[in-house]
Amino acid sequence: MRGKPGALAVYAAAFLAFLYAPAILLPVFAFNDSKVIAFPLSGFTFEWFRQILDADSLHDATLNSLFIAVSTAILATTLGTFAARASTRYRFPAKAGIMGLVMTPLVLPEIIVGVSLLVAILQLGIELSLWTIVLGHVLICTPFSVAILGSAFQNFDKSLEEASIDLGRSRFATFRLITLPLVLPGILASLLVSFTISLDEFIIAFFLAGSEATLPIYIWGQLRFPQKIPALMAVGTVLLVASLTLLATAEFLRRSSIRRTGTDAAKGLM
Amino acid sequence: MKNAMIRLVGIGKHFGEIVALDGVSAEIRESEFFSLLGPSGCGKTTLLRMIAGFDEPSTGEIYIDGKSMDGVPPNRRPTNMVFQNYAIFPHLNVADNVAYGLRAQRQAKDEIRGQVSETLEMVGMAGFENRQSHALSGGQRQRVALARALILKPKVLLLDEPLSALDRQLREQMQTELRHLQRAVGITFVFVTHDQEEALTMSDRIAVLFDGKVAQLDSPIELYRRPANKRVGEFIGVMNFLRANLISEFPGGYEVDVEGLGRVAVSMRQAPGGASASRLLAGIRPEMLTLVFDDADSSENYAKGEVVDTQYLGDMTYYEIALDGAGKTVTLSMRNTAGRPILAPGTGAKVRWTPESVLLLN
Ligand SMILES: Nc1ncnc2c1ncn2[C@@H]1O[C@H](COP(=O)(O)OP(=O)(O)O)[C@@H](O)[C@H]1O
Ligand SMILES: [Mg+2]
Repeated sequence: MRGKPGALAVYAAAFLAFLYAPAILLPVFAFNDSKVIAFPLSGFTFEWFRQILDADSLHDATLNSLFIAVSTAILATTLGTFAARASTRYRFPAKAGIMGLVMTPLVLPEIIVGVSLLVAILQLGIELSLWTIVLGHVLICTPFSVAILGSAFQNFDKSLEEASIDLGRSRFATFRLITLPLVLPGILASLLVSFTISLDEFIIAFFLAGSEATLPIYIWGQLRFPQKIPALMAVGTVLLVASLTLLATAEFLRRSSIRRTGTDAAKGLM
Repeated sequence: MKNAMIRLVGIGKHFGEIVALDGVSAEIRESEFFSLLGPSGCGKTTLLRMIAGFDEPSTGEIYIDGKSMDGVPPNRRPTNMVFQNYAIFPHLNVADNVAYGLRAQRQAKDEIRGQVSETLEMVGMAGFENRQSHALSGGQRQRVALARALILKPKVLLLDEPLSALDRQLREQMQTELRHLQRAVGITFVFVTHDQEEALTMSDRIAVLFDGKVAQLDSPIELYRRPANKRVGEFIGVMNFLRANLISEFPGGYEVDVEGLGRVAVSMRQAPGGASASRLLAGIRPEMLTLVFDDADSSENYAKGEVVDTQYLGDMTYYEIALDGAGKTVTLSMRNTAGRPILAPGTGAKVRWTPESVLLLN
C-alpha cells in the first residue's frame, strides 16, 4: 500500500462523516420546528420532546424494552461470567469447539437467529412473550459478555487467588474478597453493553414478540405516519445519548478493570 | 539434631508426558533455612507448590510436623507462601494485605491492627499501613508479601525465588535481611533459587535438584568441598576436572595418576563415591592450586605449565594454565597479597597442589 498520507486522511474523514452524519441529523431535526424532515431548518422547538411525554403506547414499549434489556443483561452476564472463567481457567475436552459455538451468534445474521428461534419456539409450543425476546437477546449478548469478561479474567493473575487460599481463606471467601472485586468493573461493563445491545435490537425482537411491542418495534410501526416522524427523531435522540453514555461508561469500566488486575494494555473494545 | 519439620517420601510428579519430579526424598529440619537449588525447569516450583498444597504429588507422600498432608488443602496447612511475583492484592492497601489472613481468624480489630504494625516493623515497613499497593517498589512489595505470610506465624514459610526480580544491590541486602529474619522468628524457611551463590550464603542446608531428582543434599560447605558428582561440582562454583586413572587401593585411600599432576594419594574422605569406575575424574577448585613464585620452594607436589590467560579482578587474579601433559587448561585463583607478582600470559608457571586439593569423582 503506497497511498499518500493526505489521501488516507481524506478517506478517514469521509468514512467518519458517512458513519456519523446521519446520527447527527437526529438531534438536528429533533429540535427543528417543522413537520417535514428537510433543510433548510425552520426554528428551534421542544415540541417533539413534549409529544414523547404524552404518548402512552410509547411508554409501554419503553417499559417493555427496559424489562427485556435488564433481564438480558443479567442473564447474559451471568452466563458470560461462567463461560469466560471456564475458558481462561480450566482445560476441558473440545474447549476450542465449545467456545467457538458460544461466540458464533456474534457473526450469525440476526434474521437467521430470529427465524430459527421462532420456528423452534413455536414447535415447542411456547407462547411468544417478552421472555421469548429475552431468550433471543441472551443468545446474541452472551458472546459480547464472554469477550469482555474473558479479557478481565485473562488479565487476572491466578496467584492472587492462590495467595488468598494460602492465607487461610476458603474458595468462596476468595471469590468474594479477591476475584469479584477485581473483575467487578468487567462485570459492570458486560451488563451495560448487553443492556445497550438488547435495548435497540429490532430484528430478533420483531420475530419473537408476542402481542407487546418493544421500543424499536414501536418506532418502526410509527414510521407509517409522516406526522409522527419529528417525534421519532426526538425519541431517537434520547436513545442515542443514552446508548453513547452507557457504552462510554462500559469502556471506562473495562479499562479500569484491566488496570486494577495489573496489566498495562488498555486497548479499547470500541 | 532437630526434629524433621517436613518429610518428603518418594515424591514424584508428572504432567502428562513430562516428568517434573522423580522420587524426591528429603527431610527438612525444624527452624532450618533450607534451599532448593537447581537450574530452571528442574522442578523446584513444582515441589514447593506440592508442599503448599496447590498440587498433589503423583506418587509419594508429604508429612509436615509429623502429619500426612494427603488431601489437606492449602488453607489447612501450617505453611505460608511468598510467591515469585509476590501476589500482592492490588485493590487492598498495605495494612489490608497484611491483615488478610488474620481477618479470617475473627480476631478483635485492635488486636489485628497491633499485629499488623508489629509485623510491618519487623520487615522494615513501619508506617506504610495506608500506602496503596500499586505505589510500592519491588523491594517493598516483597516485604509486604513477607509480612502477610509471617503474621500468621506458620510452621513453614515457602519462598519461590523471591529475590530474582530485584536488582543486584537490593538483592544482596535482602539476602542478609531474610537470613536475619529467619533466625529471629525461628520459622522453617524453604527457599527456592537457581542462584548457587545465593543458596550458599543463606542456607543451613541445600538440596540440589537436577531433572526432578535430588543430586545432593548437604550443608553449603560440604556441597562446595565435596560435590557428589561432576554436574554438582560445575553447578556450584568453579571446578577443574582432570582425567585420572586408578593405580592402586591402599588402606585409607586410593593412589591415582592424574593428568598434569602425576601420582596423587587421595584419602577416602576425598573420594566420597569410592573409585569403582576405571576412568575417574579429579575435581580441583581454583583456590586449591597455588602458584609458586619462589624457586627455592622445596615441596614435592608441583606441576609445571604455562600461563595462557590472566584475569585481574583487583583482590584476586584468575589464571588459565596449560599444565604439561594435561589435555586442557586449569583455572587457578590467587589472592593478590602485598608484593605478590601478577604473571603475564606466556610465562612459565609452577603450580603447587596437595593431596587434599583433589576430589576423586567417578
Ligand atoms: N502445570 C504444568 N503443566 C505442565 N508442565 C508443567 C507444569 N508445571 C511445571 N511443568 C513442567 O515441569 C517441569 C518443572 O517445572 P518447575 O517446577 O516450574 O521448574 P523450576 O521451578 O525448577 O524452574 C518443567 O519442565 C515444566 O515445564
Ligand atoms: Mg520456578
